[in-house]
Amino acid sequence: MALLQIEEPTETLSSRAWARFRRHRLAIASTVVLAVILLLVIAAPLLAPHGPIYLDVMNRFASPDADHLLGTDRVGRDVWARVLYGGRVSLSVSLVITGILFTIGIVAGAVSGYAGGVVDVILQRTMEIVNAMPALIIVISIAALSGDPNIVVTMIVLGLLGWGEIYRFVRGQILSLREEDFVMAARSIGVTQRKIVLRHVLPNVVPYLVVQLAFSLPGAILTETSLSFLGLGVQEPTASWGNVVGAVRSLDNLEKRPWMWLPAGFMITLTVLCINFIGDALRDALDPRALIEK
Amino acid sequence: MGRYLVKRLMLMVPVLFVISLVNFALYSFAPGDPVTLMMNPILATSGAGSRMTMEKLDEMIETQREIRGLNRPWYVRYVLWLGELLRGNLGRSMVSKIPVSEIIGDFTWPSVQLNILSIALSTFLGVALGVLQAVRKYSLFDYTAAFFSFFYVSMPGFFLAMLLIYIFALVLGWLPTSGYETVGMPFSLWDRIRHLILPAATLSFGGLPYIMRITRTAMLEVMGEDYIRTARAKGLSEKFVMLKHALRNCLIPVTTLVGGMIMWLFGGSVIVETVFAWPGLGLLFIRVVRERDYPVIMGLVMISSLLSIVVILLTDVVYTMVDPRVRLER
Repeated sequence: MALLQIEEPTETLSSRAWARFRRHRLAIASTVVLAVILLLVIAAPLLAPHGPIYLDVMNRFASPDADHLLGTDRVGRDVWARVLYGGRVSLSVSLVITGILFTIGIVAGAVSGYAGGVVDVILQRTMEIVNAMPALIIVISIAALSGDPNIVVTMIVLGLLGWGEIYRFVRGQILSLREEDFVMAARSIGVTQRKIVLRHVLPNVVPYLVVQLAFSLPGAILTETSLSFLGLGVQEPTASWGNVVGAVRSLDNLEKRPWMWLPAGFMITLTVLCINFIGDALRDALDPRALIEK
Repeated sequence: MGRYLVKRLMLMVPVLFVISLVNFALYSFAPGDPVTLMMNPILATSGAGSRMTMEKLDEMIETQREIRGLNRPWYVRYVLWLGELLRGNLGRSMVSKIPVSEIIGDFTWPSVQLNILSIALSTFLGVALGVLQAVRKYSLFDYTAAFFSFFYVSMPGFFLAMLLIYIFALVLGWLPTSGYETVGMPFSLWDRIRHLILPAATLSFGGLPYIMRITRTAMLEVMGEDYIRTARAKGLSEKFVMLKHALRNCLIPVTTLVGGMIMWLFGGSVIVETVFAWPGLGLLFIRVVRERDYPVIMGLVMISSLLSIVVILLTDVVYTMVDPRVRLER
């Protein structure tokens, strides 16, 4: 019976995907929480009058009170301010890393999948070598060896070493799309190769790239915060979620001054958790099999 | 199979070569070397009244560089290093002069203990929980387990480590906060195990949720297959069907994932070993990187790259052994 039903013309792929996404209540809640985190972080100058690097020397290791909502650290900096400003840094660094590896992955994947032949083989071998490189180890050694760790270099290196997965994904998608009828049709009426890839093939990959983005971002956030925690990523006095947690430095602080490390660690976990929930719902919503079967 | 293995092993050589070349070059362009780092304390102690002139200091640095061969261009050093490597010699530490292989050897055993235990923990628990989830699909247990798996995936290792130390070592006082064994105590197995629990728990939670999730998905997929219905129709017990027919087939994706974890562990253990002061390869790595001890750094990079390549290969091989449908030869 269902087979005979004629599909309503108004129902597009994206509206159907949206309907499926809405069913995931956790993902909806996550979107709201993530939006709140973003607002807090963006409005940091309004919400944290002390600023992230002001030293209240008389008030070192102060416990939370009305003036310092989350207390102060070992040099008297306001932890609330450092958590908010740290979020700005952590999130933008992660976005840049993801941006770099997506750009490389998409371009290389599209070229490899569409050009084929020698180009494809060379790019595939390059990807295999890059994938076999221990990324975290290399980044740590570059950061530590340069003496003065530079987050820009770190971001670029992480981007250069991390594009393998996106590359493989885009290449696979292009290989299968290349054989589709609409690409054949475009080719038969003389559309150039470049135009086919840009106008006809890539737009079809975009929805799935959004899902990939939701899976890559958490990794970038965890890498950045881990590096900053070790003192090899974002450098003090600039705050990042990782180096705020890393500022604990002693078991004494860990035990007696939990306000120094709990809030920033909690923010990392919450942010990554929200992105993971959203990503999971997006994957489900954009699953091509589910979309067609309905 | 044999021809395939040979082909893959041959491919490993150029990959390792490129990795070593890239890394060697990278480290050579980094400013500062062990000699300047050693001279810094001398500089700091020689105040204005010291007779040591800058010229003399420069001269000293130059002689020390010459002794270590650091005055030669990097490609010459690379060729020399590669020659030694091919003879199985990783060189000597520039700081302590001890052979690199000996240093790495000293730190390997604690790392192996930690990694094996955490892989075993996460694989065993992950598969068990994943199967239970699949069997009781959409139950309260399924949802709770899924929620916690998301939670653990989202937590950075250092934060989880700190929470565990805070709760189990500081507040409850059940376990030691860090280290390999209690200093000054005679060897006791129980003491070693107590020190191992928290680091292993931290490392294993990194992989457990993934294994759990993939086991659940794979089990659900397999449970819809015809041969499961056949097995049930034959009258086999539900337990037998699940464990013998379903689980066996869903171990394929799990194998790939565990393989990936082994590669990931060396990087992950850098953080866990730092927080817990666990004397493994990760801690050694952080130390030698700070000392700019290039021969040891290169040794560690080569070993971890080799490990990851071998693991990729092994995963592919195990893949065929678990799943007869996969053929390696084309």
